[in-house]
Amino acid sequence: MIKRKWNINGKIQNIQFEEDQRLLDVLRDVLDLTGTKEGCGEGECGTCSVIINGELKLACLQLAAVLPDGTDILTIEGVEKTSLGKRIQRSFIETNAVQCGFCTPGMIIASFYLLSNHKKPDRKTIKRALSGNLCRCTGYNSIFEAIELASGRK
Amino acid sequence: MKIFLPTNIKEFLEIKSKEPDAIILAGGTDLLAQWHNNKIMPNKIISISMLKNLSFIKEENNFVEIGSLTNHATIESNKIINKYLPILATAASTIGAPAIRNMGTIGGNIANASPAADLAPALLVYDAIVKLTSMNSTRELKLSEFYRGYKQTALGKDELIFSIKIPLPPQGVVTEFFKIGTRRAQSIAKVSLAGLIKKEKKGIDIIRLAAGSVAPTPIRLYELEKFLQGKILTRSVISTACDILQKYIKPITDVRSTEEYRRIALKNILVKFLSGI
Ligand SMILES: Cc1cc2nc3c(=O)[nH]c(=O)nc-3n(C[C@H](O)[C@H](O)[C@H](O)COP(=O)(O)OP(=O)(O)OC[C@H]3O[C@@H](n4cnc5c(N)ncnc54)[C@H](O)[C@@H]3O)c2cc1C
Ligand code: FES
Ligand code: FES
Repeated sequence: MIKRKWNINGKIQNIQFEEDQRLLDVLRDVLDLTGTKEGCGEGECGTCSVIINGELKLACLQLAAVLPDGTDILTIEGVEKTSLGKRIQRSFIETNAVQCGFCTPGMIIASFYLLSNHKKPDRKTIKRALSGNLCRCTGYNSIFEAIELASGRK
Repeated sequence: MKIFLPTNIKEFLEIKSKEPDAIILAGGTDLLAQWHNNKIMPNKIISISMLKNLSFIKEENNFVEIGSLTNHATIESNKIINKYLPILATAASTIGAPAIRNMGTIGGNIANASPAADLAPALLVYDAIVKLTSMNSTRELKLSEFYRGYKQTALGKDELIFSIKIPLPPQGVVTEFFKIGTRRAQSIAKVSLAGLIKKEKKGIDIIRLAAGSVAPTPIRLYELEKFLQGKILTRSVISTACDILQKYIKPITDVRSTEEYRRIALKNILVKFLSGI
């Protein structure tokens, strides 16, 4: 058993988990934060995207035990409470960027990471920023439009 | 299962000398994917993610030194790398997607010894040296000698890749990196080529070439370099170079591509490189 004290979505939490669990397992099975999805489990699809200490990472490739006390973790449940997160969500709805929705949490995390670092990204920058996120439904254009819409708003 | 999480290099080396079979875990992008696919995990893991001293880039005594824990995103954007080793930055920028570049490290890219590792061809043409450290010693060897065979390296069980050292390239060289994959992001190279060249009026003064995914390890194309040295790049010289290339490489057919495709693609990028400059 591993014990850690992490800052999860702005709240310090004491948690316990097994040595072999990935951050993805800890989020979903221990903390019940099921917005983070498991698509492929091997780094290809981006549905498990999270932000660790300010950097975009994949929870399926992250062994939980190697994250020390004090690690900052932001998941979709935390992002949706921020004003930027809300703005992105609204834009996704308006451009019809959500169909089945399975990719959406990962897409929003990647968009949030992009817009936190770039105020007004161009299409090329947006495509590159989302290149690790697969969507089987939308054909991507509505997602790119959502980010453009969100970046133009206050 | 036991996980060690040393917080400094000395502690790491002490643990590793007592637990030589513990698997070193850096960014985990290769290992976690592998464990997931094979549904097994090792009994002992030693993570180096807390060894902040392993993450650095510095220029000193005509060398650029890159700590083994430096990630691809840092290499892609670092000023020193972009100034002296531009195709290393380019190669890093082609790896995976943003999250993979935030996680994957140069040490892991080399130690994994995949024939398709994208940093390898660039590092090979820059004559990179691998600096290894253990409890009792430190040694340096050329990257080309570090590779021993398919997914095999000269890394000892008690050793750690400390850093990669690269001599500053000669003045006036032109370098280029080519990668052919299936889609722009997340694609492992079907074939890749790095070239470094300096041309004078009387012929080629310096030429170094390295390729990925055409042999069990990333390779320097020494024989081709020997042939091209001093030559003027006429059409017939380039054509002979292509023949030599074909004899020299041993691509295979696998899930990503076929032997024939790899031969033709590598030839085409060689021609593009040699006739483009
Ligand atoms: C979706 C996806 C896409 C990818 N795309 C690319 C790509 O386009 N190009 C490419 O080249 N690679 C790609 N990779 C592979 C991978 O990201 C890189 O090879 C990465 O650099 C590995 O680094 P890591 O720190 O994650 O290694 P880890 O997985 O932590 O380790 C890999 C190996 O290196 C050893 N190791 C790590 N650090 C050290 C050290 N300091 N000393 C000794 N041994 C060490 C480990 O024991 C292990 O054997 C991709 C991977 C994924 C999952
Ligand atoms: S589940 Fe992590 S990238 Fe697909
Ligand atoms: S909306 Fe279905 S996968 Fe993107």
